Amino acid sequence: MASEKSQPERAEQKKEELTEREHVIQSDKVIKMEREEPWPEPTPKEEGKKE
Amino acid sequence: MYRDAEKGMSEKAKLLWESMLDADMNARYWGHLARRYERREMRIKVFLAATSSVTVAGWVLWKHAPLFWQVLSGISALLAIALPILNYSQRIAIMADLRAKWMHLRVEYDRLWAEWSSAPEAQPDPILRLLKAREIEFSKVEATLPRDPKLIRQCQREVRASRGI
Repeated sequence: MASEKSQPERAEQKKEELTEREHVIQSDKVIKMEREEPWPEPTPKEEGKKE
Repeated sequence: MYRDAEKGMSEKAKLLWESMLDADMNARYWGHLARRYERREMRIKVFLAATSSVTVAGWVLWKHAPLFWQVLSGISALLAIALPILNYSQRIAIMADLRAKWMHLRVEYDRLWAEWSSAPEAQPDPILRLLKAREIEFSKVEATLPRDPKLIRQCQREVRASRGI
Protein backbone atom coordinates (compact mmCIF):
# COMPACT_ATOMS: atom_id res chain seq x y z
CA MET A 1 0.00 0.00 0.00
CA ALA A 2 1.38 3.38 -1.01
CA SER A 3 -0.44 5.20 1.80
CA GLU A 4 1.11 3.05 4.53
CA LYS A 5 4.06 4.67 6.23
CA SER A 6 7.21 2.82 7.17
CA GLN A 7 8.43 2.56 10.75
CA PRO A 8 11.07 5.34 10.43
CA GLU A 9 8.54 7.64 8.74
CA ARG A 10 6.04 7.11 11.57
CA ALA A 11 8.77 7.70 14.15
CA GLU A 12 9.77 10.90 12.36
CA GLN A 13 6.15 12.08 12.22
CA LYS A 14 5.69 11.30 15.93
CA LYS A 15 8.86 13.25 16.73
CA GLU A 16 7.61 16.24 14.73
CA GLU A 17 4.25 16.13 16.52
CA LEU A 18 6.02 16.00 19.86
CA THR A 19 8.24 18.96 19.02
CA GLU A 20 5.19 20.94 17.91
CA ARG A 21 3.35 20.15 21.15
CA GLU A 22 6.42 21.00 23.24
CA HIS A 23 6.62 24.33 21.43
CA VAL A 24 2.94 25.06 22.14
CA ILE A 25 3.19 24.05 25.81
CA GLN A 26 6.27 26.13 26.55
CA SER A 27 4.61 29.29 27.75
CA ASP A 28 4.22 31.44 30.86
CA LYS A 29 4.22 29.92 34.32
CA VAL A 30 0.95 29.37 36.16
CA ILE A 31 0.22 29.68 39.86
CA LYS A 32 -0.95 26.38 41.26
CA MET A 33 -3.38 26.16 44.15
CA GLU A 34 -2.73 23.03 46.19
CA ARG A 35 -5.63 20.65 46.72
CA GLU A 36 -7.25 20.44 50.16
CA GLU A 37 -8.22 16.76 49.97
CA PRO A 38 -6.48 13.83 48.28
CA TRP A 39 -7.82 12.73 44.91
CA PRO A 40 -9.41 9.30 44.59
CA GLU A 41 -7.50 6.62 42.71
CA PRO A 42 -8.46 6.12 39.04
CA THR A 43 -11.75 4.25 38.79
CA PRO A 44 -11.82 0.59 37.61
CA LYS A 45 -13.11 1.92 34.27
CA GLU A 46 -10.09 4.19 33.88
CA GLU A 47 -7.71 1.45 35.02
CA GLY A 48 -9.36 -0.97 32.59
CA LYS A 49 -8.32 1.26 29.71
CA LYS A 50 -4.68 0.72 30.61
CA GLU A 51 -4.83 -3.04 30.22
CA MET B 1 13.64 -5.25 37.20
CA TYR B 2 10.23 -5.66 35.57
CA ARG B 3 8.53 -4.82 38.85
CA ASP B 4 10.64 -1.67 39.17
CA ALA B 5 9.60 -0.58 35.68
CA GLU B 6 5.96 -1.35 36.44
CA LYS B 7 6.16 0.54 39.73
CA GLY B 8 7.86 3.50 37.98
CA MET B 9 5.13 3.66 35.35
CA SER B 10 2.42 3.36 37.95
CA GLU B 11 3.92 6.32 39.84
CA LYS B 12 4.02 8.31 36.61
CA ALA B 13 0.40 7.35 35.93
CA LYS B 14 -0.56 8.53 39.41
CA LEU B 15 1.32 11.80 38.86
CA LEU B 16 -0.42 12.26 35.52
CA TRP B 17 -3.84 11.41 36.98
CA GLU B 18 -3.44 13.83 39.91
CA SER B 19 -1.97 16.57 37.70
CA MET B 20 -4.95 16.26 35.36
CA LEU B 21 -7.41 16.63 38.26
CA ASP B 22 -5.37 19.47 39.81
CA ALA B 23 -5.46 21.32 36.48
CA ASP B 24 -9.23 20.90 36.28
CA MET B 25 -9.58 22.10 39.89
CA ASN B 26 -7.33 25.12 39.30
CA ALA B 27 -9.21 26.15 36.14
CA ARG B 28 -12.46 26.08 38.11
CA TYR B 29 -10.94 27.80 41.16
CA TRP B 30 -9.58 30.82 39.26
CA GLY B 31 -12.80 31.05 37.25
CA HIS B 32 -14.98 31.11 40.38
CA LEU B 33 -12.67 33.57 42.10
CA ALA B 34 -12.62 35.93 39.10
CA ARG B 35 -16.44 35.90 38.99
CA ARG B 36 -16.63 36.51 42.77
CA TYR B 37 -14.32 39.53 42.50
CA GLU B 38 -16.21 40.85 39.48
CA ARG B 39 -19.45 40.71 41.49
CA ARG B 40 -17.76 42.38 44.46
CA GLU B 41 -16.35 45.19 42.33
CA MET B 42 -19.70 45.69 40.63
CA ARG B 43 -21.52 45.94 43.98
CA ILE B 44 -19.04 48.53 45.27
CA LYS B 45 -19.33 50.60 42.09
CA VAL B 46 -23.11 50.47 42.17
CA PHE B 47 -23.08 51.42 45.87
CA LEU B 48 -20.75 54.35 45.19
CA ALA B 49 -22.88 55.56 42.29
CA ALA B 50 -26.06 55.16 44.31
CA THR B 51 -24.73 56.82 47.48
CA SER B 52 -23.22 59.77 45.63
CA SER B 53 -26.52 60.54 43.92
CA VAL B 54 -28.68 59.69 46.94
CA THR B 55 -26.49 61.76 49.26
CA VAL B 56 -26.92 64.80 47.06
CA ALA B 57 -30.65 64.15 46.79
CA GLY B 58 -30.76 63.55 50.53
CA TRP B 59 -29.37 66.97 51.47
CA VAL B 60 -32.89 68.06 52.30
CA LEU B 61 -33.33 64.94 54.44
CA TRP B 62 -30.12 65.50 56.46
CA LYS B 63 -32.01 67.38 59.09
CA HIS B 64 -34.42 64.43 59.61
CA ALA B 65 -31.83 61.66 59.89
CA PRO B 66 -28.40 63.28 59.97
CA LEU B 67 -26.61 60.29 61.52
CA PHE B 68 -27.80 57.90 58.79
CA TRP B 69 -26.59 60.20 56.00
CA GLN B 70 -23.30 60.85 57.76
CA VAL B 71 -22.64 57.12 58.11
CA LEU B 72 -23.66 56.47 54.52
CA SER B 73 -21.44 59.19 53.10
CA GLY B 74 -18.60 58.06 55.41
CA ILE B 75 -18.80 54.47 54.09
CA SER B 76 -19.03 55.78 50.57
CA ALA B 77 -15.93 57.95 51.01
CA LEU B 78 -13.97 55.04 52.54
CA LEU B 79 -14.93 52.71 49.70
CA ALA B 80 -13.99 55.32 47.11
CA ILE B 81 -10.53 55.51 48.69
CA ALA B 82 -10.20 51.73 49.12
CA LEU B 83 -11.28 50.73 45.60
CA PRO B 84 -8.09 51.82 43.80
CA ILE B 85 -5.97 50.29 46.59
CA LEU B 86 -7.80 46.95 46.41
CA ASN B 87 -7.18 47.06 42.66
CA TYR B 88 -9.92 44.56 41.85
CA SER B 89 -9.70 45.16 38.11
CA GLN B 90 -6.07 44.04 37.95
CA ARG B 91 -6.70 41.06 40.20
CA ILE B 92 -9.66 39.97 38.07
CA ALA B 93 -7.48 40.21 34.95
CA ILE B 94 -4.78 38.04 36.57
CA MET B 95 -7.37 35.47 37.71
CA ALA B 96 -8.99 35.32 34.27
CA ASP B 97 -5.57 34.84 32.70
CA LEU B 98 -4.74 32.04 35.16
CA ARG B 99 -8.06 30.38 34.40
CA ALA B 100 -7.35 30.43 30.66
CA LYS B 101 -3.85 29.00 31.15
CA TRP B 102 -5.12 26.26 33.47
CA MET B 103 -7.83 25.35 30.97
CA HIS B 104 -5.12 24.94 28.35
CA LEU B 105 -3.09 22.77 30.74
CA ARG B 106 -6.20 20.73 31.56
CA VAL B 107 -6.74 19.98 27.88
CA GLU B 108 -3.10 18.89 27.55
CA TYR B 109 -3.28 16.66 30.64
CA ASP B 110 -6.57 15.14 29.45
CA ARG B 111 -5.01 14.43 26.09
CA LEU B 112 -1.91 12.92 27.69
CA TRP B 113 -4.02 10.74 29.97
CA ALA B 114 -6.14 9.53 27.03
CA GLU B 115 -3.02 8.75 25.02
CA TRP B 116 -1.40 6.93 27.90
CA SER B 117 -4.61 5.02 28.72
CA SER B 118 -4.82 3.67 25.17
CA ALA B 119 -1.09 2.93 24.91
CA PRO B 120 0.50 2.46 28.36
CA GLU B 121 3.84 1.51 26.79
CA ALA B 122 4.17 5.06 25.44
CA GLN B 123 6.24 7.28 27.68
CA PRO B 124 4.46 10.54 28.59
CA ASP B 125 7.71 11.89 30.10
CA PRO B 126 8.70 14.77 27.79
CA ILE B 127 5.27 16.42 27.66
CA LEU B 128 4.50 15.67 31.32
CA ARG B 129 7.83 17.18 32.37
CA LEU B 130 7.12 20.34 30.37
CA LEU B 131 3.63 20.67 31.78
CA LYS B 132 4.83 20.21 35.35
CA ALA B 133 7.62 22.74 34.79
CA ARG B 134 5.03 25.45 34.12
CA GLU B 135 3.43 25.10 37.55
CA ILE B 136 4.54 27.29 40.46
CA GLU B 137 3.35 26.42 43.94
CA PHE B 138 1.13 29.14 45.39
CA SER B 139 3.20 29.13 48.60
CA LYS B 140 6.28 30.16 46.58
CA VAL B 141 4.61 33.20 45.06
CA GLU B 142 4.15 36.59 46.63
CA ALA B 143 0.63 36.15 47.95
CA THR B 144 -1.33 38.96 46.32
CA LEU B 145 -4.05 36.51 45.34
CA PRO B 146 -6.40 34.92 47.84
CA ARG B 147 -6.33 31.29 48.90
CA ASP B 148 -9.80 30.08 49.82
CA PRO B 149 -9.75 26.50 51.21
CA LYS B 150 -13.56 26.28 51.15
CA LEU B 151 -13.66 27.20 47.46
CA ILE B 152 -10.86 24.71 46.72
CA ARG B 153 -12.91 21.94 48.35
CA GLN B 154 -15.96 23.03 46.35
CA CYS B 155 -13.93 22.89 43.12
CA GLN B 156 -12.64 19.42 44.06
CA ARG B 157 -16.25 18.25 44.51
CA GLU B 158 -17.13 19.73 41.10
CA VAL B 159 -14.21 17.92 39.46
CA ARG B 160 -15.22 14.61 41.04
CA ALA B 161 -18.86 15.09 40.02
CA SER B 162 -18.06 16.08 36.44
CA ARG B 163 -15.75 13.10 35.97
CA GLY B 164 -17.88 10.63 37.90
CA ILE B 165 -15.11 9.69 40.33
